[in-house]
Amino acid sequence: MNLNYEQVIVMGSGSLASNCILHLLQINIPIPITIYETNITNISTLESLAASNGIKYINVPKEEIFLDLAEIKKNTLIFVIGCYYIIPSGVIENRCLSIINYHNSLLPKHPGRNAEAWVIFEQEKTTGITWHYVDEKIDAGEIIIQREIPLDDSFTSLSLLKFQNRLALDTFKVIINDLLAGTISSYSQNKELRGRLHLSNEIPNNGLLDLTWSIQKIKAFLRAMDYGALRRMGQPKVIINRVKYTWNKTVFLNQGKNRDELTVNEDENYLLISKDGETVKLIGLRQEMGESGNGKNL
Amino acid sequence: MEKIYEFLNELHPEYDFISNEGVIEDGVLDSFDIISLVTMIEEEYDVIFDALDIVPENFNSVESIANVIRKNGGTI
Repeated sequence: MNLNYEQVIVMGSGSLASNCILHLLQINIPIPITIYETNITNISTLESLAASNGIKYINVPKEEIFLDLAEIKKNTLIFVIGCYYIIPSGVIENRCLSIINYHNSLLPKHPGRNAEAWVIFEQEKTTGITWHYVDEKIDAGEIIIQREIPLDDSFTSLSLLKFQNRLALDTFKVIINDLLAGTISSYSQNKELRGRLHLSNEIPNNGLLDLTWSIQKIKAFLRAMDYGALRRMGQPKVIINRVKYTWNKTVFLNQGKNRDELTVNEDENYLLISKDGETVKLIGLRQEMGESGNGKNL
Repeated sequence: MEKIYEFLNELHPEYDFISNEGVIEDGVLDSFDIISLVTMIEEEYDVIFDALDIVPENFNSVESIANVIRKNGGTI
């Protein structure tokens, strides 16, 4: 293997970072790998992966990571995967570094955080994944490779993230040899098509279900908010008679009344939203904690 | 227990969860698998896991998964 680099760094966290490192180990790259773990959660597995494979593992504040990276004097290939840090110019300007970021949308659409939720909420027909070089703007560097995903109304944010992670790993395997050899080409993003940058604190409609939406929009909102046990955006809420409610479970029913109808069942604590011949059932409806302080059922 | 095996097989059909333990130590389940598994369990057993219980060691074997479901109010 003819390599253009003397070391590889993976900065980030999560299962995609972990699986990309496993692939680097499987293809026996003859240069050292270092992990800088960021955004550590209770379920991080990078440290144990590093320990069991003799990989250097570093977990320090981001300021220290960036100082380290800015001072590197060896040709280094850096993968930024599942990392929420904005990389400062001192690192980007280091000519020894080639920095590649994974982003889970078809850039230039949906730069920033939680792209999976925004594509579902905005009822896009397609999304995808992008591996791209990092430059001074967020998610705006030259594109190395993209893959498209047709979207249907079965995707939730969690299932889309999972699908994207698999596709991203497959694509990583396609490009890794050319990346290491320094023979891969890239192309600029079309700046005119750049979407609005999604910030980390932004949630579709501030997490509030709007009962005036069409049934399709309501379903898109609920699927966008559904991160399963990841609970990234918290629980969605709905306001009925000026009281804010949340619920435990959502069920989509493919039948319902054509006229708009809202049924609140106080005995069984559920809400039925019927529109356009379809119904959404919100089960386990309860007054939101903090609004009145009691969090009681309907 | 059968349901737990069913969920694990759905995540990794290529792995023999009956004969092997230590699915975290062996690198079979990654962090995303754990989230997916908790999501399936919460749906099936009608429980909400305490965030502090969503740690790799609680998902290292079928027995430890069953224990954490019980701890969070589920009936196996």
